[in-house]
Amino acid sequence: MKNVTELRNELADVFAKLKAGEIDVKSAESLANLSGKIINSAKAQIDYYALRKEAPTIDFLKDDTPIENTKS
Amino acid sequence: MAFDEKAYRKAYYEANKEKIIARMAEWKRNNPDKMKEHGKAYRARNKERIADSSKAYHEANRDAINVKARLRYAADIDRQRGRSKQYRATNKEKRKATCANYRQRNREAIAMWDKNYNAANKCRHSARARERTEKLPDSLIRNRLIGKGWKVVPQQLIEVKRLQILIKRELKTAKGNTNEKRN
Repeated sequence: MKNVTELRNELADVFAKLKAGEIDVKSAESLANLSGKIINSAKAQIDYYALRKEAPTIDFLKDDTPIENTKS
Repeated sequence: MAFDEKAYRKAYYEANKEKIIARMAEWKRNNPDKMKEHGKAYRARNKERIADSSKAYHEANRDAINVKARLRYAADIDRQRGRSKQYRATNKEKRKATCANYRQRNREAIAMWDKNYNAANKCRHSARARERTEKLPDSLIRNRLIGKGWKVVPQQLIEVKRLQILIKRELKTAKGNTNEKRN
């Protein structure tokens, strides 16, 4: 998972598999928790740039692909 | 002895009073236009006299006239609404001050009414909140993150967060089902 698009796609995949019962609860839980950690690390980076009053250039958030509708 | 026409007419009228009144009434019935003209001409000729007598009547019967007018006004809801509307339009500032004063004086009572209203409409509010939580709009996720101390919330992270919430929800359901099976 190099960037936010990959993370999103991964989570969408996990969500679909979880609904279909193709993945066990523990693996899905750890992936959901991991995504929370990644989101919080991005938040820390954003806060850092905000404190330095700089425009954030975060590679993880660079996203060229269009956002798919993830609403169920 | 000279002929007194006036006395003769008077005597004739007294002798034939009922007959004359009946004929006059019949003539009035048959000539409504002429009666209307006559009335108009009379009012024009006696303008001051009518005004004086009307004024005297109003002064003598002021209380009774006021009572009747009040009863008429009380029965006419459209007129009341019109007057209230007109008053509100012409006295905006005064009304604002009155309302503020009322709220100030009755703060406790208003708080109690609000509390009762909220209690009575709790189901409606809860349904709305449930629907919003179910749909997970961007604004809800953004507000949740801001509530947790986020200052800037990028759109990409909102998408990821939504997926995370959906997965957690699904996990909760799955766990619930497992517990049910165990029981």
